[in-house]
Amino acid sequence: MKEKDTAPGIFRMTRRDFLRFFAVGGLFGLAGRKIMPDRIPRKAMFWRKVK
Amino acid sequence: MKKKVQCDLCPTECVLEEYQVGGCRTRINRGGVLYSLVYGKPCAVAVDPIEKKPFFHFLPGTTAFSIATAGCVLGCKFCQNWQISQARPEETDNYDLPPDEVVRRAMFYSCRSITYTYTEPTVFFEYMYDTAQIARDRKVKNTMHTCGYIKERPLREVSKYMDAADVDLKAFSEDFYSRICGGRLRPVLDSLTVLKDEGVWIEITNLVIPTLNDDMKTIKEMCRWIVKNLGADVPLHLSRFFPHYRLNNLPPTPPETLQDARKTAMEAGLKYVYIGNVRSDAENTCCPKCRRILIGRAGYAVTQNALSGARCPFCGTAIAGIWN
Repeated sequence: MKEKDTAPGIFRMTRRDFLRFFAVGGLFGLAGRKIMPDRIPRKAMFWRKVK
Repeated sequence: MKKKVQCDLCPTECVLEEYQVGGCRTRINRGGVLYSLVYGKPCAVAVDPIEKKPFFHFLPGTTAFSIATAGCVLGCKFCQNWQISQARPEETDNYDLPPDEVVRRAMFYSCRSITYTYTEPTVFFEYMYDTAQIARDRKVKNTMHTCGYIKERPLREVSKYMDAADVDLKAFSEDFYSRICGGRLRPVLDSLTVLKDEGVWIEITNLVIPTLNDDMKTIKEMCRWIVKNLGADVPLHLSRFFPHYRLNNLPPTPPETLQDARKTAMEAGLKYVYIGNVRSDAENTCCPKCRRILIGRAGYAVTQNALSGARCPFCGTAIAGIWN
């Protein structure tokens, strides 16, 4: 009898599943940035350029 | 092209190459622009009694929302908070707390004031400045516990929003500042006079360390300078030293030394001299005229407050401070 060459059930991943996985991850990333955006670093107030 | 910058915040005046971090560990030169690395990132946040700062003549019995970030402009060998003051911001666990959130939380916890403390607030100057502005708008008072090692221009700028400052006058000798703290005494004295000039309420803390700054002659000189330049009403807190950081070889200050120092300070003309880190009668505020207890304290707790307005209820003498 021939053995199966892929894992059964949820472990079987097609190319579409693979792309879906990253697409959903990307959407979560965008939502996270919307909730907690990166802060613009604060410039110091007292300094000067040296020539 | 060279992109060197010079920090103009503290008297150290670090000159930084690109991507170099200042001696305080909190400022970086990125592309020829100086940035703060600790803005909105305190590593210590707590609600403390105002007496812990220590402020004894500023809203006694109230609480202060206290914040600090990593870093310091000095490197005192006796630092009591060296785990955060001598650390880089990436070495500490930091909260994410923008200025408006600090003020909101202070109001939520019914704190009458926000204190910039634990480490040296000069290193998080921009954070302190922005927070103090918002706090002033929302009727929350601002106080700082500082070593006073800051240049005149930034100090005058932040003084517009500062209600009180507790300045650590670590000793009255240039030698002590250079050997033990890695700084200079003169800028600290200048800062004290600037604060006085700007109308900020000042209290002074002096940590008395055995063999290093417990000479009564120097303490007398220091107190005379305070009386002459700041006035006899400035409260002086003489704190007991406990071995810490790089001064583990010294014993704690004997309570008798602190009592002697207090006597010396009062003889020099100071009206309010307290002893800190030791339980004693020298924690109470007494009327300088009739010597009766006006504010009784046990550690950080206020046990009684007999002040009537800003006056002694027994003899009517005016007691300096911010009481309401």
